[in-house]
Amino acid sequence: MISMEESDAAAVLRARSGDSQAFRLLVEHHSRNIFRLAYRMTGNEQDAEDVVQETFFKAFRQLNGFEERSNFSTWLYRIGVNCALDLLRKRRRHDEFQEPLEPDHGRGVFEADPHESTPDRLVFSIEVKRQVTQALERLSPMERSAFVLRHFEGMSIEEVGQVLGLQTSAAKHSIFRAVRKMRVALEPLMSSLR
Amino acid sequence: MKHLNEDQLILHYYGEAPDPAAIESHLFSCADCRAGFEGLRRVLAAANALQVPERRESYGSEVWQRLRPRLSERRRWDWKPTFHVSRWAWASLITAMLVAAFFLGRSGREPRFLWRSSRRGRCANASSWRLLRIIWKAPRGS
Repeated sequence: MISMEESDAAAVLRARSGDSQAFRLLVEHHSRNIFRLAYRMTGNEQDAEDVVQETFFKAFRQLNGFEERSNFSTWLYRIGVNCALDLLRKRRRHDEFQEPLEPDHGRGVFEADPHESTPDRLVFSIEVKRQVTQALERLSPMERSAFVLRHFEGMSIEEVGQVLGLQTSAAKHSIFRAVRKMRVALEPLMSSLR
Repeated sequence: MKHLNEDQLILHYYGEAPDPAAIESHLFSCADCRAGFEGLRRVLAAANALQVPERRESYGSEVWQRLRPRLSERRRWDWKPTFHVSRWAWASLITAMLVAAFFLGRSGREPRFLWRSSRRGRCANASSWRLLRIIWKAPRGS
């Protein structure tokens, strides 16, 4: 049975020689993962969709620069993280000229979960989501990327380093800083639960 | 064993601590560290509240459909891939031209004007100097 990695490698080879159907396969294999990553990085659906498009467009343009010994998925994640960071930088610059839109942070992220049983729990759940989003927004771009990759995507610290182009120890310290900041931001809320 | 620090607890939470058995046994016996680890676990579990909207099975095809026009447009107009493929050919051609120019320059006739080693060159040099001196000494405004 052919592994995902092998089929990716074969598709990359074919795509490089101009086979658009091979690139289509790569897009179909990885779109959902890139969307998930992008959504967690940007916090909203429309931005995440833009990041997905930009990631595959850049991947197509840079396909000749992909080294065959590398893992295609890691390489694609790196492009995805960079696209998300570019978008966040642009958004930050744009927001500097806008009024703060506190409730708008909820686009997508704060949608009420219909499975929450009681109104109290529903309110609490919305509050947790709001606080988590704000805490993530307060992280530096590197901390946020490292945290998303380790915590949500389940990558090992070594893989996080590969995606972000960092030494493993630097990736580890970004994760430590991110977790500490998340803890400072969320602990008061968690304590109120007890 | 000393108390565990936060970094050790974080590594343990993510299953990347170098000696998980030692950490487990310390957590079992140390209430302070156990409370610290529980606090960390609660906070990180809360982070999971950030759920990602589901995407349909056909999502990959939808992404492709939106992407395809951009890719074909680029293929029509972008000259870079051609350049990329023939980069080495260009480099070889330029090197060959430089080498050829060097050897042609060496084997060809020496340039005469202002060439110090040739007699005629020296004459030409001398006349140039004389001309310059005349210009220099000429009254200004004439």
